[in-house]
Amino acid sequence: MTKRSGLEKNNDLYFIYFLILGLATLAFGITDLIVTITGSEYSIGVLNIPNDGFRGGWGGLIILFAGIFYLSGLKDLYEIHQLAKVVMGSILIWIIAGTDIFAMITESIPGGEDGGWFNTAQGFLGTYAPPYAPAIFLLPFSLVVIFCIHKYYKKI
Amino acid sequence: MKILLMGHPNVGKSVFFNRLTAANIIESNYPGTTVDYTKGYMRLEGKDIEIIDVPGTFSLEPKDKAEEVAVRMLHESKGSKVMCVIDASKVERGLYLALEIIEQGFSVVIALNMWDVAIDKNIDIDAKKLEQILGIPVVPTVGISGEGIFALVSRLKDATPVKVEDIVERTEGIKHKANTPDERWALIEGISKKIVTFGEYQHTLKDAIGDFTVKPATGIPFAIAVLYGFWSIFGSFAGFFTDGFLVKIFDEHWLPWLQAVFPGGLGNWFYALIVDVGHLENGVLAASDNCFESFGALSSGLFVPVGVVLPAIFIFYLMLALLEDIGYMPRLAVLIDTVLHKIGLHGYAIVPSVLALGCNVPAVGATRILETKKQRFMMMTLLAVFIPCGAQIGIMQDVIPGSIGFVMLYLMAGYFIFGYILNKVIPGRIPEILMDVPPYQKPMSRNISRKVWMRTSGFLKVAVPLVIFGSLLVNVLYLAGTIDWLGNILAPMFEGWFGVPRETAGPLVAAFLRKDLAVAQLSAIEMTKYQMISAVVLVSIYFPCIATFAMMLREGGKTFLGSLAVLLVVVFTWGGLLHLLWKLMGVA
Amino acid sequence: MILTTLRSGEIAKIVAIEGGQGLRQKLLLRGVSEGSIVRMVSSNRGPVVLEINGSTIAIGRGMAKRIIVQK
Repeated sequence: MTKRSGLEKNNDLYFIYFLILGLATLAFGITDLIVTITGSEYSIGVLNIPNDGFRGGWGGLIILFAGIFYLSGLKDLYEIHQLAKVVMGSILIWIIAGTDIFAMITESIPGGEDGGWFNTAQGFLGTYAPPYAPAIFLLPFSLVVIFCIHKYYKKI
Repeated sequence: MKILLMGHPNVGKSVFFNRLTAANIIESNYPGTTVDYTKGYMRLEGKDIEIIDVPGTFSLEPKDKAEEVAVRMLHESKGSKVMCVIDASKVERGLYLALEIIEQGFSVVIALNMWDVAIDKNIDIDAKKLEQILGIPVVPTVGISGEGIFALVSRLKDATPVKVEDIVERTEGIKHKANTPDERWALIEGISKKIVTFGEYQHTLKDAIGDFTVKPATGIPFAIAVLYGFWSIFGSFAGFFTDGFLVKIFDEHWLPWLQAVFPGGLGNWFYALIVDVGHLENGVLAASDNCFESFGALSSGLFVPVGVVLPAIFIFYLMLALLEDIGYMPRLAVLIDTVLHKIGLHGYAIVPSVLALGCNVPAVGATRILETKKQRFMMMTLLAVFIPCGAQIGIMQDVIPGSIGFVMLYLMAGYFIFGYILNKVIPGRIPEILMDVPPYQKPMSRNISRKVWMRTSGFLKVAVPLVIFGSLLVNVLYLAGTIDWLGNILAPMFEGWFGVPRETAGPLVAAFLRKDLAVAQLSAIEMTKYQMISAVVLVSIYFPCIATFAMMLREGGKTFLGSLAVLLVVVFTWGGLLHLLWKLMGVA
Repeated sequence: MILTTLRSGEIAKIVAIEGGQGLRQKLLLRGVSEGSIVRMVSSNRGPVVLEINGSTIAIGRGMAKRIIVQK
């Protein structure tokens, strides 16, 4: 049934890549949930783990799911159903990271309660300064899946 | 001459209709949105010909209200030509409807629509041969791109009534007539053996994801993420416009300007109605500094629908249209079916339920897709009572941002508990889910913008006049002392049973006109956080707003009285229970 | 065997629909007919999801139990 796909070559490479990404995602998800449940503040360097019920709780759970999707799909990636699981893992990360970035954008533009109509240039840029949530860090690595899709259909 | 456009739900009939007429209608991916029929005119050989988009139906033996409408419309249009739109990847079932229409003596042309999908799925259909067997024009089309539609229109003149017996004869090998369903299916099998071959088909990434998003184990995590994204964007977007700009425009510019230029001034009754009722500060009447508290028809009356609710409604409908157009909603329906079946509804019920989160009025209309009276009654009642509309949610996000999650949970719990009870109490059949799960598709920006525009403008037309009228009415009642009088009479109930201040009487009167207005007015009353939650819950479950009221009366008829009875029981038990909960927690 | 006992991914042929005219007609109109080859998409919990001739359809469990298939 399986059509020969462009992913068959270097299968081990993809395996290792998504194994590491999957484990990292899973770890972030679990940390996120623990931080939220214990209610502690957790921020090291440029990383900030959200601890509110929505972004930490539900968001953490979704990151955890993303990790599981990666790990369950990484074997035999040249099979479309396996690739689909990895793609879904990435979609989950895009949803979390995308909504985080969207929230940043909508926060950065208005001037705030006491300010003018629009934010100052400094305030605008300040919104985008680190620390960031885990999903933002996972985002660039999750984009590799787009390469895999093209490779699957042998467009690359 | 008239032309009827007929076919199963979701075969792209509405896209077709738009191509032929350029009229504005809603087209979507789940069954039921074309229940209201649409009419337009098509230019053919120099004449304007009426064309009707008949609600989708599977057969001429109706199974729900929409199908009844379809059959009635066909019977009212003797002598018309029928354009029967068939999903090319599902020819057999489409032919059943076509045969039934042919049997009634209509001139029919067949559009084998979504021809491109059939090709993608490696389904080979011999359209020429089908035309030969049926004796009527058969044209492959792709509605989305418009391919084949011109050819179809030009073949309309070739459509003439044919006899089913002749089709039987031309099919060869069929020995009987085609009068009963079984005989008809046998005929269709005979035809399809001659014209359709299913080639081997490789799943694409889209199909694979389609499968995983409908399986519970992988689909539920995905659904959680989709809903998370929905809620997060809803909040960010509405906050951006309302808190970021519109509050400022209304509070710092619009209200002061009104206060400055409007004749009368504080204390004048007309000024109070239109601009600002003011409030007592150390016994002196002081001007309001924001549009939540001013209560005037042109201040609060405009601020609530335009400043707070419009951004919320817009983003809600935009995202809903996206999910519909991509084809996600049927998958959500399948996933939620297990839970909803326990309360006597089925997965479809997610469609009116989600629509109700935008506005209850179209949601009550969407209950038509449910099959039995029992289901329609339950759905209508549950959504009118327990599902807060987008307008209300938008205001809640501004007034009680911290407690909104709790309010939603409490209402959702009520939805399921009372659903369970109603299911046990009301006699009647609950049919199981049976629905198509369409493949994912790229959303069409034209489709989405049209849908969002229709729904949002529909909202504005109803909401703005009602909110303005509502603020006027409540102000008049205040000035006349009616609200105080009501509050005093009902005080034992408000304070003793529900645990909210007697001043809540005012917003509750307003709630009958607009729930968003009512929540906004609550914010001006002094009370504890818990009383506030109780009051917001009361506003939600107490009488549906007048527009929903009218819609329920129209859709439900006599069963409306039943809904009202349920509503009264719910208000007292569910509202009182919350007070009890606060007492147990020691906060009331 | 009964349709619901098929596991996800398994392929079988529908041999009979046990039920009255009403049920049969309902299923036939959705493309579920005797002789069709089906691929099970989801059968563990909730409604049964099937793929028939490239189209996907969800069927309530009660109805699905009346459909007899052969591997």
